[in-house]
Amino acid sequence: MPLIHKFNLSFILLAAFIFGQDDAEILSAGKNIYLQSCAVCHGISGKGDGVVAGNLEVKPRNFTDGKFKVRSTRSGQVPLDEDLYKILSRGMGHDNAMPPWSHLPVDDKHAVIAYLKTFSPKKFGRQDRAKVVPIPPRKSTSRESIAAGKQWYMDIECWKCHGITGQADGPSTKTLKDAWDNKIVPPDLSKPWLYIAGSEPEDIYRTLSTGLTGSAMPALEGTLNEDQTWDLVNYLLHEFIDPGKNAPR
Amino acid sequence: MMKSKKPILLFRLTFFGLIFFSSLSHLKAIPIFARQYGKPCQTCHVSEPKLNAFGELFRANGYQLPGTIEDTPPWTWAKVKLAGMLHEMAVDRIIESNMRAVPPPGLPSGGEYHVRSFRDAGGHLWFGGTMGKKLSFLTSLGIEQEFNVKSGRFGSESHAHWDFAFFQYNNLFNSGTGMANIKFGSFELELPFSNLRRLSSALAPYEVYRIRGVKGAFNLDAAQVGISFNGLKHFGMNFLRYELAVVNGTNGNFDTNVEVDTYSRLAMTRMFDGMIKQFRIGGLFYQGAQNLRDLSGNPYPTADMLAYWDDEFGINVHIDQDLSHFYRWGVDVSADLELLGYPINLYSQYLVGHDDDIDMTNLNLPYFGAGAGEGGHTPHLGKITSSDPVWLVRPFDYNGGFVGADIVVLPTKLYLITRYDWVNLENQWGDPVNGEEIRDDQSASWIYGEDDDGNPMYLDFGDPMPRGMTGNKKSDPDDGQTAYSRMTFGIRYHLTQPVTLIYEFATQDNLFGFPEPGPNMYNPDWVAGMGRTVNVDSYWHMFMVMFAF
Repeated sequence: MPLIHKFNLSFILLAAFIFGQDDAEILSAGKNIYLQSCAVCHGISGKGDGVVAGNLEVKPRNFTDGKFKVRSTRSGQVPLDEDLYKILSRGMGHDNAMPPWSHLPVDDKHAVIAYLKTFSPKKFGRQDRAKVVPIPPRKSTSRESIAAGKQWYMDIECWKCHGITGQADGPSTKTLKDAWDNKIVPPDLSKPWLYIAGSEPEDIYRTLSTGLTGSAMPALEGTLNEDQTWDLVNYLLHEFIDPGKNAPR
Repeated sequence: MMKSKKPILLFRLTFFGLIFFSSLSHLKAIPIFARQYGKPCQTCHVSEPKLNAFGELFRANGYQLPGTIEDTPPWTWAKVKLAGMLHEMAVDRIIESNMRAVPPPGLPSGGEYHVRSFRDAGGHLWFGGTMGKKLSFLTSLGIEQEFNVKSGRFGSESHAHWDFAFFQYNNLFNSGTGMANIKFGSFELELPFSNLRRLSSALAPYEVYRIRGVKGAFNLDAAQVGISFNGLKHFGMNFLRYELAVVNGTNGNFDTNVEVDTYSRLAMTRMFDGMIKQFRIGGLFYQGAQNLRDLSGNPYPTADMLAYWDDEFGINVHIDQDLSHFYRWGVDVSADLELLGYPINLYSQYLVGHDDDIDMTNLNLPYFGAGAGEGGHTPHLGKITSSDPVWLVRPFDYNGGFVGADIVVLPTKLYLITRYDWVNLENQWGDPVNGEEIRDDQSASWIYGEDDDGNPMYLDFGDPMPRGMTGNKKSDPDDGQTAYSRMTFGIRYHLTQPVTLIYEFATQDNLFGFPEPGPNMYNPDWVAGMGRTVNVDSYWHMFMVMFAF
């Protein structure tokens, strides 16, 4: 039995002792669901090395590092349970094999999230200190805002990965690797169904602010202020996703 | 003589034409469930159509994500649950016939033949998914050009056919997700390795599933009509997959006997951490019976024939053996591992089969069929020695299997496949074991070879079957032909998501599934009696393009 798994079992037993029988039952149920539904991709030890993983273009997440791409929390912090619940329910973009587990019963989702957190107990031990990135009200899509967003797109070098055209044809596109040295492919920005964290204006704002931890997508919070971030969102929406709906007003 | 360059030019033009056509496609069209869930094909497939571990779990749960129960009646479907696939192959094949007597249909006897052709153009349409709580379904309609033999010549024809169509009621007794399901309709048995979802071409199927006796009609891998009780139960890192099916055993046709055909399958899978990712071991058992009336080529006495024998010869034939029993059992293993960073699936099947293969053509009955008494064929009335029919029973036994490896070279892009198939026939009609005699008058007029002086040699009724007839290996001319083998190598490249290019090379020792020419060309019994394995070796290069939409 792998060391990490022994650790997990110990953790479950410890949790049962500390938190009582109910929590232990939740973890045990979560483990069963995980082994039944998740382990073929994420591996039985949560290292993202399940039997299917080797043949996937975008590799499944290694949970043991506590690095999660899609979060509402600041860069470097673990996601909230709500974030994990959301990912579980709606899956990730079309280029990603993570399906939407919307039909998994609510209790099962909570149980599997509880179990998933045992793969990285240290980091999730600090989950209550995680700070949510605030999303201010959307700035109107004025001509100036879109122009400013375009300038940011060039200045902070979004184009290097996503390309001038947004079609993932930048000079760095083909050389990108994630934190585990797996090849990654930035999405074609003109295809909103490829946005792993959603393509609504608030979703894009959040992704820009938090970044996608473990991938090449940095967190822009601290680089751009709220106004500037909305400018960039407006540009992306107007230029790549739906020019009609996001025309300057 | 200079060879024509036209075929080569045509071949090259087609090859580059297909590549050009494929390169035009930037579609992200993905079939059926991939489209429904908005996921790439490799979520469920190693390379289409072979399922990966997740795909197997998805399928076992009635085309729902493992661990879930969907409630999606048709009026809530947001997307059409329809998908399709088109394919065409180009084959360059060398056939070496070492048969002393009968050549492959349409070809002269002896020698080497070079065939270069396009074939197997066609497609499939699939329609399936969940249809309300606990109910799922899947249908497959094939429209294909298929190889056949007509009047002793190679040919082909296109036709549409249902591959299968079934419903599955999931989670009986509220048993949990996929633990107990019931399937009904026309469906593929839960075989360890599916011929519908293998990575090799139509030229290189999992052969051992298709072996049968000369008169047998049962194919283990054909769609069967019936009811299946199946499911999947998790035990931590292990899971158990099972199926118990009651079917007709007649390849989707109506069954005309009262005996029940049953299929059972049990497989245990365990997930691992480390180099070995998953290991499965399983077994299967099928037992069935077919009415002799249903078996191909059997001149089963009709009411008219019975009356004729009774009236003319005073023979009262008692049909006391209606059934031909058969069984198959097998064991299988499959291991998924990652070696030097390359995901590899190693797999193997071993199968044993038996067909009673009862031949209703009775030595003691007068010839009764087309051409009787004409064209120099005299009914062998003199052979009638008894009014008590003696049935010829030719039990047909075989064992065989395959061992293969599928290697992911570039995830989602490039795959290598290799497989070795083999079958050993323990007794076939052409062997000296059973059916040693020429049993039909039509054979008497047939020239099977030349003697040392160059004179044609004939066989007559009752003559012993020449041992070299089906064998005649160059190295051992008198050796019977009792084995079949094939080595297959393939490369699959996914040019874009919907377009797959496939190259395959295979070398095959002996030919199995030898087509039966029509009765006007050869005596059907005689040719069938050549056994299902004949000494026709071949090797081929195959290029295929598949377009999924």
